[in-house]
Amino acid sequence: MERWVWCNFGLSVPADWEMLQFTRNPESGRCAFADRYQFRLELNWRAVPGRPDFDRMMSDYAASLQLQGMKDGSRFRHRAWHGVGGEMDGQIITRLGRWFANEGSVVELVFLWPRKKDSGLMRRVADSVGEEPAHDGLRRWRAFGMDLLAAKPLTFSACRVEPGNVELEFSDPKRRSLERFGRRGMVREWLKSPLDRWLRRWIDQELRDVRTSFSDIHGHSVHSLTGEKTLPGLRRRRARCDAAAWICPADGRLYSVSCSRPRSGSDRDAALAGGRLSCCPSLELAT
Amino acid sequence: MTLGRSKRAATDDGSWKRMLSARPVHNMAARVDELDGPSTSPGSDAVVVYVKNVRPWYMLPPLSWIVPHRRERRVVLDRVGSQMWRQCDGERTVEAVIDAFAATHDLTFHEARVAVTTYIKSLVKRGVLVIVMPKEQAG
Repeated sequence: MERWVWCNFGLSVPADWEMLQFTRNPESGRCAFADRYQFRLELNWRAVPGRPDFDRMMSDYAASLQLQGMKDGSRFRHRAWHGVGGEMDGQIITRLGRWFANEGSVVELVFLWPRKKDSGLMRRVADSVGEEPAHDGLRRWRAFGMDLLAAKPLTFSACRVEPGNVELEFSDPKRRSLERFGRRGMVREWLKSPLDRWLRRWIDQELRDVRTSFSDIHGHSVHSLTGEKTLPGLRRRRARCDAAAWICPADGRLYSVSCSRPRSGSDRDAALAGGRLSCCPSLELAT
Repeated sequence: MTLGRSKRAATDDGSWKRMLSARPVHNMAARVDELDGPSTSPGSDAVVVYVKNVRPWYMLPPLSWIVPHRRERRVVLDRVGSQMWRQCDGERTVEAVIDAFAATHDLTFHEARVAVTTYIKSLVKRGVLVIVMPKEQAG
């Protein structure tokens, strides 16, 4: 089983299931996981003002599914989950719903079973679903091979997922604070320059007072960079930018992280490699 | 509840198994130059495929005197593309090509699937490859 954390919810799914669809809105959204042949699971969440009446909601839901053509419909309970299962369009589908108080959200799991229902797997996945509360002003995300901590006040502003190229971006509305986390594969095919030079290009900012360093962290050769840039606006405020990049010896991928934020008296050096982004168990986040 | 079964989430039969069991085959009418000899730069390992152009019906004199008809068009495959093209031998299925590509480049199955199917699609469009679909199973 592999752990994923997305939009404040975490769940464990079989290792060969991959997230192929997602939304970024923490209030309401969905993500879908597939094995190599078809979609297997949808995770849906929606913020609601209060705990819903699940009994009524599930009976309404089951009735509406029957109208849509669901056969052999049945309702069941598994711990805090309310479930309804049946066959639709020739496929066995199981739906489970649950209220999560801290996030104030209703979460729904929709399992698609290609041949027959695997109740054990369904229970394992359902039991693994949980809220991921923020710690020390940082919120955890675990997806697409990255395990990362992003500053809680920042919103999830962009996510690019391409074959062998993933980048997640968190920013405030004016983009004065910006955090980027990247993971790139097929490094031998495209990385033709030294890693420190690539990192400088990736930051793509007119940085001043740039200081670079190199360190070995648990077998990872980490190139780091610190600099300052001037923020747009009349006040000409300055922002500090820290970045790091390394190639993980375990999977051969290039990981990169950058954090830029307006300068303040509380600036402190925070380790990015292993502190904000983790690639493998030997560089695990300290949470 | 927030959703029923999303139609976006699946193809018609809910699976892309049929697509994965198709077999990409080289265009037998195309001419191939494998540039792995000493004349090319080391490690280039490229393949050039010359695909025959069909002469359009309107390509007759005097138009053909002004716009010459090219008998072949040249498609150059880079090193990664050539590796993938070599896998498309008519024996391997798309799924096997994806697995081989994923293993070579340390990618997940779906990362490799998107890369391979996009590339195969572009080669089919250019006439370098053709796709043999599996026979529909009875019932």
